[in-house]
Formats: sequence, C-alpha cells, structure tokens
Amino acid sequence: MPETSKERKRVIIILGGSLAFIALWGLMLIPWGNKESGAYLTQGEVYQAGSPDQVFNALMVPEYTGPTDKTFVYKGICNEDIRVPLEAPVNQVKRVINDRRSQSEEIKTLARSLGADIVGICELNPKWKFSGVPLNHKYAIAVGEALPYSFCREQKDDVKAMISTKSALDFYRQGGKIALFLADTIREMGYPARAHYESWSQVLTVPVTVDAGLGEVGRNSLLITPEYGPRCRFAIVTTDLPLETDKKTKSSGITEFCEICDRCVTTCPAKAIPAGGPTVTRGVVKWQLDLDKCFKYWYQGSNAWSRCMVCMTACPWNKADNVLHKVGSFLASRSPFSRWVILKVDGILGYGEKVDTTPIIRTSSK
Amino acid sequence: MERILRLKWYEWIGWLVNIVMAAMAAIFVTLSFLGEELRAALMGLGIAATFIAAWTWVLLFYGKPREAGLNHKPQD
Repeated sequence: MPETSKERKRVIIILGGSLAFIALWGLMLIPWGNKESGAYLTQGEVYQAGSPDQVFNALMVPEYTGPTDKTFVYKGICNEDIRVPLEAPVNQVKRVINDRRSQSEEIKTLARSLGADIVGICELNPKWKFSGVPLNHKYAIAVGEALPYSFCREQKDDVKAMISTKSALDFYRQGGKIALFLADTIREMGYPARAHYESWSQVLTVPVTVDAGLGEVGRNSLLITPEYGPRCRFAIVTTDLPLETDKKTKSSGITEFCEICDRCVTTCPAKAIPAGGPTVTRGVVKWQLDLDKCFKYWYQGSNAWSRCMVCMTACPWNKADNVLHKVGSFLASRSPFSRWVILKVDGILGYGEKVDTTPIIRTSSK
Repeated sequence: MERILRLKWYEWIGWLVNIVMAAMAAIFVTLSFLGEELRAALMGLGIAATFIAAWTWVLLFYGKPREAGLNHKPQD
C-alpha cells in the first residue's frame, strides 16, 4: 500500500488514467444507441415522378433535350463498333436455376469483373419505379463504381479539379456500361432484364441501392457506403432472374453520423443542403436537397467548370479505402459516443478544412 | 507479490496502457504515411507523442518514492 500522500496521488493518477483509457475504448467499441435498420424510411404514400424527363424538366435546364441514343457503342479489337442495346429480345432457351445463392454470386462476380466495386441485390420495390413506366421485374441489381479517392480530395490545382469534375461526370456512363453488359448477359440466359442509368432509368437509383444494402442516404442526399463514402456512382439492372437478395438488417451508423455532422451544409457553395433533422418529403423521410440551387450551381453553363464535388470532398466518410479508414468506419458505426469522437478527431487531423469552391473558367469556352 | 520486476501492480497497468497507446499511434502514423495523408500522419504523430511523453513522465517520475540503495550509498 502507498505510504506517503504523494505516492497515493501517483497511484490515483496512474490507475485513473489507465481506467479512463480503457473506458474510452470500451465506450467506442460497445455497440449502443443505433437504429435497428438502415433502410429507406417512408411515411404515408410515396409520390412518384412520371419519368426522368419530368425530373430534368423540373430543374429547368434549357440545354437538356432528353435521351436520344439508347445503344451503348464501344470499339472492338479491330476498331469495329460493338453495340449493346438498352432493350433487346430475350433468349428463348431458359437457363435452369437450381441454386439462387450461387446464381447471385455468379452475377456479382460478373459485375465485379466488368469493373463494379460494389454490387447488391434486392427485390424491386414498386415505390421506386417511375409511375408511367411498364416495368414489372421482380429483382434489382445495384452496381456501383467508386471514383478514385485522389479525385475526391480537395484539388487546389485548377487542372486537377477540372479532371476530377470531368471524371465524375464520365463515371455515370461507366456504370451504365456495366449495367448494359450485365442486362445483356441475363437476357442471354433466358430472363428479361433492363439496364437503368442516367436519363435512361425507369427506377430511382438511390432508394434501390439502399434496399440492396450498399449504404445509407446521407445529409447531402448521396448514397454513403461504408467502404467508399459518398464517391460511388450507381446503375441498376432489373430482372426476373431468380436471385438471393442481400438483407439489410441493421444500420451502419451513417444516417446517425449525418445527424451530428454538418460539414457538407457549411461547405456547399449553393447553400442547397439542409441543416437540422430529416423531414418527410413526398412520403420519404430524408434530408431534402434544394435541387434547384444544387443543379444551377453544379451546371455553370458551357463557360465554366463548377468544381462542385464539394459535398463529396467535405464528407468525413470520403476516405481512402485502406485498413485505417476501415477501422474508422467500424468505430463510427458503434455508438453515438464513438461517432462524436470520430467526427472531432477527423477535424483535428485536418480532414475538415475549408474546400475551395470557386468555379473554373474554361479557356476553350464555346 | 507487491512487486514484479521492480514494478508495482498499478505501474504494470500504466506501462501496458502506454505500450498499447504507442502501438496504436505507430500503426496510425505508418498507415497514414503509406496512404500519402501526410497532414493526418503529422498531426497524429504530434498528438500521440505528446500523450505518450506525458504518460511516460508520470510513470517514471511523478510521485515515485526514492529507493534506498539507488540514490545514495548505504550507510554502514
């Protein structure tokens, strides 16, 4: 036992410090205070838009003329045009599916080999279809490609920022390519399938990706995945091919994290991202982005690049896909305390610095 | 059993915490450097070094009783 008062103080400090360290990690690691499900929440009747054209027209972009070409063309080995159509006849010889699980794995492997970084399968909820389309497929396959982290960090150099913006736009097309190839393969197997991407979509992409268990919707209205944060681009394939679905059983803490974080709100140059809690918009519980403000800032016309991946760049979930950040994502999924600590540490380590949002004027403007 | 290898039981706990803290800091800084996230690595290094140095000082010097035979010659 300690003999002097100074020695007693030493015991208290060493034991107190050690216990504080252990308690801190205990509170960080023990799961508590999480929502049961990370699914898309709805209240009442969900309002469905008629078509993607209706959505684009509502944004009042004068240059938007609607989709014209429904065929993806790429160059073959002898520079010949290879065409993958959006819709095509289904093979009359149907492949017999005995094991749904192995069929799902096969489809996921195929999607990954085509370039997808994440793939999820769910039953297609009719709520997520545009109301005016005759689509009756049972399953949806969500394929996502992640932008490289280097493109989603703040680019102080204008040329790098421009390359990042261009790449982000091109990624929508890349996802579409994977979906078209996947749908084409499924049709060859004798089951109807259709690719949905960009303006050619007949379903709402983000809710389907949530149902497929790939992530949760963040404050910035982007799908945030635990692996790549908000920097994924998605395309959907709907089909009747019998598949085993991915079950979303519990929240990964992303929505809860957004409730205490407002980094995208303060960084958004268009002030399009709402502060406060989620609200019910057209029957869906979410943070409703001001689409008009967002799109009008993002689309600066033909004279400038908006540099607008700001809500992606600023998001604390936007991190390199390495062990360190996997541990960070894991801790952020545990409890309200761990999320608060991770958010503070993220800021202290310099991730939350102000992002440059000045548009880049094109030198070769039309 | 009050002392093992000249350390008291609570000092063992303190040193164990110090080793765990240093190991975690080393992993964090190394992975941050490898991931080319220099700012995070340097900030992490600075914060961890401060904590570990302070804790090591507490363990080595704070309130430690002087031990006979170490600080002065034993009297005949």
